[in-house]
Amino acid sequence: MKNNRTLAKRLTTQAMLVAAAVVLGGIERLIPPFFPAMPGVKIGLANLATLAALYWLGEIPAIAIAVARILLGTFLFASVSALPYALAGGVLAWAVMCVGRRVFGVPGVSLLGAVAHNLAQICVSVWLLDSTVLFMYIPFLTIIACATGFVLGFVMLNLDNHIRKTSLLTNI
Amino acid sequence: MSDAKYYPRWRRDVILLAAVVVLAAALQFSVFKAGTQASEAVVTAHGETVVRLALGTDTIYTYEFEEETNEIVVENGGVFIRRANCKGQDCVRQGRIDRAGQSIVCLPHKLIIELAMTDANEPEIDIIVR
Repeated sequence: MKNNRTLAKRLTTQAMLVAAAVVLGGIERLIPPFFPAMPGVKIGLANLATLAALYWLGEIPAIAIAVARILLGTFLFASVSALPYALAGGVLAWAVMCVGRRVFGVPGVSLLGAVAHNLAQICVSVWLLDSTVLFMYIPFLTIIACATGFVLGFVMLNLDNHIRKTSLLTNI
Repeated sequence: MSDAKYYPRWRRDVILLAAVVVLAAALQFSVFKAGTQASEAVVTAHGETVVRLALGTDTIYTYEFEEETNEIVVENGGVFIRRANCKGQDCVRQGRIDRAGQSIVCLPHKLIIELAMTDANEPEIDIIVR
């Protein structure tokens, strides 16, 4: 049953996830690159919001939150030229996670999202740069994404455990 | 979790992790056949080759396109970008490359420096001295 109270709570939860994601993205920008020779290596903290939205609210709210946080984050912290990369990464990660969660658990889904995010960004850069050199980065980035994605999956499981002890997710 | 009935799926997740890592590692090692010395750096911008720099001679090449500049330094058989006016500075941070197949990319300027392999049919010395 979706009464006004439920709708208001859902909307608030979505807004909170967008805000949390933008903050996580901002924090991540402060972390110096792990591999200076390999730009694009990052933890992907903001993907935690998409992941949480996917499990807590459903697939449509998840993509809405992903797109909202990408637009906000890009205009706040980055330049417009970074937008195609961020959008492609976010959308493909979401799509792959939607399919993946029918088969895998949270860490697996998170891993798939991270790998998909990288692949999409590489594909966009290959398209924009009109050169296939960047395909060379895929294997290395994928290995890193496996590690960060899997660990972030555990973070999500823990987060979920704690949030479910509160009333935040009841009746949504 | 909303789909708690599917848990635990640890075994699947671990298999997925192992499979993807092994696949990526295999690709990584097949892509980077270690250590062939490169002979020239091919600079490409906006999809077109701008210049080919022989690695034998130390030079500084400044790429300029409208307001965009990258200072490309060839030194001791390697290449790096010393200065650039792009926003991220990723190209500068990528550092020096000297093996064939390696590349430096400046995404905002759509600039790529790619190291080409020495052609086995041509003696290396000829190319450098020329």
